[in-house]
Amino acid sequence: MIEDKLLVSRLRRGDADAMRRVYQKYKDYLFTLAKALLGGQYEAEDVVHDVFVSFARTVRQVQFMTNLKGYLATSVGNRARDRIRARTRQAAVNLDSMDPVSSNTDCPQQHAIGQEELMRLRQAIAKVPYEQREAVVLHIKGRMKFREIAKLQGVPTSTSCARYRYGLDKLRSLLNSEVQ
Amino acid sequence: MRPADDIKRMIKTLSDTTSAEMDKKVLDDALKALADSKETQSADAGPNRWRIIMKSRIIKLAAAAVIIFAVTAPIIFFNKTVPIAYGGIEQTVEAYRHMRSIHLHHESPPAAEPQDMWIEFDENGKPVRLRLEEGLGDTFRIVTWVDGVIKFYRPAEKEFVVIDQPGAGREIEHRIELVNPRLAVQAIYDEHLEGKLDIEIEQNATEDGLVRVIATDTTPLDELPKQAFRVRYVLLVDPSTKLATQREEYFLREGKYVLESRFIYDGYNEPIDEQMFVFEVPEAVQVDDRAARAGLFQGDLSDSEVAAEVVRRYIQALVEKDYTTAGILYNGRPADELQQRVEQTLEIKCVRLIAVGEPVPEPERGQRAYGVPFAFLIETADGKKEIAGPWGGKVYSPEAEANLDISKCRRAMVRPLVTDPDYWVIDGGI
Repeated sequence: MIEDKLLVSRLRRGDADAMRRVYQKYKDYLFTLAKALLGGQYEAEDVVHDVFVSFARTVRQVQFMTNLKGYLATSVGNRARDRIRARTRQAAVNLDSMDPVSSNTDCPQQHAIGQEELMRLRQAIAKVPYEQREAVVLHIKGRMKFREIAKLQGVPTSTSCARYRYGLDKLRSLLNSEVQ
Repeated sequence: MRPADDIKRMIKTLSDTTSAEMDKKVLDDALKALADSKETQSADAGPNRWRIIMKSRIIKLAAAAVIIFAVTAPIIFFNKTVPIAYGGIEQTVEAYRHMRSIHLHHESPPAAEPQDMWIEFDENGKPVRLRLEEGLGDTFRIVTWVDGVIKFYRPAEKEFVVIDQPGAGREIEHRIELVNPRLAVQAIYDEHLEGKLDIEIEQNATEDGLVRVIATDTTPLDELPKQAFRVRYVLLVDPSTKLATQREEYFLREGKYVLESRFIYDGYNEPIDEQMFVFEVPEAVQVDDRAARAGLFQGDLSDSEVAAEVVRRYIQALVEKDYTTAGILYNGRPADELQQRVEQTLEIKCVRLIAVGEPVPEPERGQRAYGVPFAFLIETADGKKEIAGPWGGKVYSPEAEANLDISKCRRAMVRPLVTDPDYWVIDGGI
């Protein structure tokens, strides 16, 4: 936390090294979030790109941020949501656009679980209604509190909790039906 | 049936990495955006960076003894309910007894240059270590104060200065006193008990459930000291810790309260990383006696006379482009930094001194501190002439100069050095 405060302080002064450090520190975390929310690799890349560029442009103006990681995760959530809205003509997420799971992952745990299983998980996540998917991904992977997710979604905290529960149930149902 | 925990575990293991190509693209664009915002910011920067930590009218200079207040001050409550009740500012005064560390961020709208401090205190509230970062771009600098030794680092100039002299730390302590939220809150409470400040409390005032404490000067406008503004302090207080998360200071100008400065506090009692107090040692190291050289010797002059003289000589030095002298008078500020500020950042030429007004005692800034009104003629990069000193600036004309009321101009803050009270320095405001 202290390091983040220091980094933000330096960013406010235009320190390029601080920008590089923030990017290196959070790029994979944010990219994983974006990809889980959106499904497609290219869209996720665009979202992360836009988040960092916007962050660099506005870091001097925004209210002092006490939680850099949360701030960036919320930004990813907002931008992913914008992209989902832009997909109004699509009835569902285009799974064809999703990249192979193995394309850019080097997590040993992930290999241990099995790429087939993770592929099914990603496909299942993509089928969960967006608000529920957002609550599940941001809470479990993004480690955001329901209060923060509720703020992002513009709903009461109880609603974001419910969306999380429904999302998890839906995931379980999807994964179990595939197993059967 | 696959349990929910299993699904959660799987989601947690999701891990994607960005490609090198993407990294390059994002970083290039982000760094460009950062550089662009830097240029915009520099253009907006005002001339008075040094006033930013020194403006409170009521902060006491002496570290106040801790008092547990039994008297509950009269308080106006708004009709709002809160999960955790906030009982009044005396609770905040009490909570600050336990403050051992803090990170504070300070910004002052006209100055635009932020300042960050990480401070550790002992069990008596006395500061023991500091890291200070301030300035922007080429004027960015880091100061640490550890075991009485001050280290000063300005990366742009690869300048690294160590000040290891008995008493040098007292200047740092003085600066910390001026920004210490514990003393600021204590002072607000004291003045409230004396009837000088009205306090209103708005429970659950923000989305996060913070409490807003508004303390407003009760002095009738016609009884305010000459050139003084009516002040208002606004605290945001976390009702669970009772500590302030923000303090703002407003001056009443032309019927409206205008924001003068804002402090944002966080990191209360969080351990501060040891690395925050350590420098990566640069190539050149020099020992400096800057603190001993700063200031104008008082001699036979009275306090108010020397205060005015410091400002007069400072402006004259700027006119003559004698930045060494100007820096010595401006609290020992480096000459090249001043020069850069005046000639490159502000892009102004100081043409001549117009007037220095009658010094006004500023006891809140120090027992012998004065505010000295000033006005001088400047020429901007596009050749326009302006009068620096009046609030908001004034386009120069002979009539404007003739009609100038110096008593209503901005005031340079002048005080004797804590380490050597026979020497006087400008400490902000100009």
